[in-house]
Amino acid sequence: MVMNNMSAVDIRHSLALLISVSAALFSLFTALSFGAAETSLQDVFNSFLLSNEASFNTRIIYELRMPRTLLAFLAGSGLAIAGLILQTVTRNPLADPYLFGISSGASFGVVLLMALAGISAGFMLSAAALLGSLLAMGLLILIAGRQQSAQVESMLLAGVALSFLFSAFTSLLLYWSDPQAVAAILFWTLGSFARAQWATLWLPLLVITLCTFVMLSFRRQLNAMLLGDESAITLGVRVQRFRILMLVLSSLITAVLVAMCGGIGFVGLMVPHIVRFFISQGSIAGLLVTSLVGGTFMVWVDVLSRSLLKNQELPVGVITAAIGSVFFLSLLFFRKRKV
Amino acid sequence: MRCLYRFNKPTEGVIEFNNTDIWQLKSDEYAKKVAVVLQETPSQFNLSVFDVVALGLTPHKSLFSSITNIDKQEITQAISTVGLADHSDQSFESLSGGEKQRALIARAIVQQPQLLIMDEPTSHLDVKYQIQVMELAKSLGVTVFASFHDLNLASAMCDELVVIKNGEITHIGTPSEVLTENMLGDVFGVCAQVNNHPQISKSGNSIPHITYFYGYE
Amino acid sequence: MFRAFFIGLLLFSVSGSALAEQANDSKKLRIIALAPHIVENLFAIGAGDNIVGTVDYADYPVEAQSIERIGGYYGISLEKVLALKPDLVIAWKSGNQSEDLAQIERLGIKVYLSNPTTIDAVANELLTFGEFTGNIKQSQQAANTFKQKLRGIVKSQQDKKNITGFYQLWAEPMMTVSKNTWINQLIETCHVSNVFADSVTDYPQISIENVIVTKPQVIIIPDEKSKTLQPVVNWQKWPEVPAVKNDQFISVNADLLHRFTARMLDGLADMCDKIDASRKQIKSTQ
Repeated sequence: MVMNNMSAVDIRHSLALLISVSAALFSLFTALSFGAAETSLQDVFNSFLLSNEASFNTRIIYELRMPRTLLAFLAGSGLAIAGLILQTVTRNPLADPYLFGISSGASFGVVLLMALAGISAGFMLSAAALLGSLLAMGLLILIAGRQQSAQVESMLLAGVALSFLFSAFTSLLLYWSDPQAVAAILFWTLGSFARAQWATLWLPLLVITLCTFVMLSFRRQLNAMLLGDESAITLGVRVQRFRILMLVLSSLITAVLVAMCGGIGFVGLMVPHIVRFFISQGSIAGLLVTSLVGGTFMVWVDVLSRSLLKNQELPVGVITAAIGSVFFLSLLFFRKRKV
Repeated sequence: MRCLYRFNKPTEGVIEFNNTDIWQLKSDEYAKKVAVVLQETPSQFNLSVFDVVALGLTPHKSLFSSITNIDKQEITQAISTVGLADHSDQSFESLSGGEKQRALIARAIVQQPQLLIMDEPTSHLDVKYQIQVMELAKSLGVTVFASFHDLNLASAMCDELVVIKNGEITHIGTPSEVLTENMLGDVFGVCAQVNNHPQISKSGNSIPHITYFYGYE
Repeated sequence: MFRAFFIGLLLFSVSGSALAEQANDSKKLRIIALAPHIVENLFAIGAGDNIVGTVDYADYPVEAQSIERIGGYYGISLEKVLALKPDLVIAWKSGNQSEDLAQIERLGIKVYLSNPTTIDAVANELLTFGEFTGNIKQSQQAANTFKQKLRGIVKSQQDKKNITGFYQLWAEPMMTVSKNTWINQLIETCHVSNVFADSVTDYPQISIENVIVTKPQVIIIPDEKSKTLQPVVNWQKWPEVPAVKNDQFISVNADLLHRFTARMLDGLADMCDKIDASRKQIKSTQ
């Protein structure tokens, strides 16, 4: 009787969800078999059984590949959701989590710590990155938060300005550093999942799950925003406050991810775009599929980053930038053809 | 109008709805009572017609609730009422101007308000749709507060008119009372002749019809 | 008469040599040294006084700290360079902006590029500096000492068994060196083969998995004087890696190893000693 009431749209949504979940699970499992060490499928199976006599290969999978695959999935889904939220509340399909200065703030924090304390690794570095991001977020809200009219434009302008500001300070600090430090910062900024460990996975998991949950709860308000600030107000949405709340959520996700993985661009921009072709973002299915597609995508990007070069890592940001550029060029191409 | 639907806060004076200052109510409480159909809606993000109409539920639904079957029926019903049943799954963007207005009216229907505010609902529409949209609004059985530039349409559709010049209300009353040749000259600066329209309104009153004179500097 | 001639000759030769000395003094080469190792090497051949300008971090020997600073990694002040009226600018390609160097050449000042690619090339550089400054004898002495010391180290390593090692250049992100680097030469002098020698890039970025797959017998971590040591990797989880099982973590003075001077040999000798100690420990556990 439920089936009879389901429209074509409902069926499409359920199908899309089913495919996304399956693809995600498949990817999470399969990705574990890729890496520098030669491992077999048996090793992958064994890594799920927590035994004390685990073999070398099994432990490589469990200790190293599993955390990074999970982190990659979390990062991809988090960035995709953050991008979707931002694009929705700013009504700008080109909005990206990195547009607002969060990543620049993180780099600034990292370089500052290096310059002041000579610390170039470890927990302190990630903490400095997180604080830098939160500083950027705080400044953004301070500058553009109280605007009643044209809040979107203010936010975008302020975000870009902050981005440049932090970049300028970072460059200034790097000016006095030695080439080795400069190279290391560059690679840190380009992003990597190699530093993933079980002990620290709880943070991104917590933040992303919570933020996604809140976002799902507010999906009606998000959809209302799409028709314009005025329209949303008539539907009872407190537009200015809501926008700030969503900005905070997406900035939190971005801040945590940058602190742990460095800067990984384009995902927040691309994935919502792609999913929108197939599913209206107005539905729960649309939001969940965006999250799943983002995660799956990033899992494979991570596989590429550790498989493209022999016994070496390619920074994740390089791969997402390359894919992102191709994506946008082809968007442009298809638009021309449509017109 | 923006003061009426709480977009702008008045610097002086109080707006009351059912004898309550509207700013004393919470925004979603107010939205349950008042629905608005605006002229222009920004584009992009391909929401379907169903999604847009479903937005009317926003003030009624708490954060964690989902759409029930009853809600779905209401939405589908509203879409049929405005004659867009065939376009339900289509992207809202792909509709014509008149169809978009009708979809927004459907959204307002779902919102179940006591008052429907319409901001120049007929400005961009073809004549046929101008009439169609206003007839539809009239048939909803709620109080409608709409702004017009077309005085003849206002005359035919409305029970009461409010004339505003330079931000001040100059006339309030029925169309017959308000639409006089003198008023047209004073407020609108046009020469015209006012006759009775061949049709009579549903409530049995005559409808003034304005014929404009042209060719003067 | 013969006595007069003799005295005349004596006077002439004395004044002649005095003139010659004066000429030499006025012809003393003014050098701007654009890298710390260049400064160190010039001092080593007794030409420290020739240096009229140098870069920020030229801190050895102590006398070098009083030489006027004209720039750093970020670039050099061309105005200051001109003001010092140098006869020669000795630069290091990897440490200076090539734009600046090109500009100096355009201004008509001779630029010499120091670019030692092998360890013994340092000795040749000392000789070259000697030719420039006229301190031929001292440069030959310095070069010979260098060569002898190097030979000594190489000889002492001769019969040592080759072991595999991982050099952790940077911790986060983790980076190492390939065979096209200076460090690699030093490591190989101590008879350690770099597990990442054949990498595609010169300074590859790697993950823990990449390291444990290569199963190095020693792990070498440079410990620069300016940075505090931060352990980021929990190596203890990987007893399959020989370096972890036998606890062979070696800390070396990176500051010395990165300078193409005689002191580098001190760092090298120290590293080889530490590696040898590891080697013995590994042997004893086998």
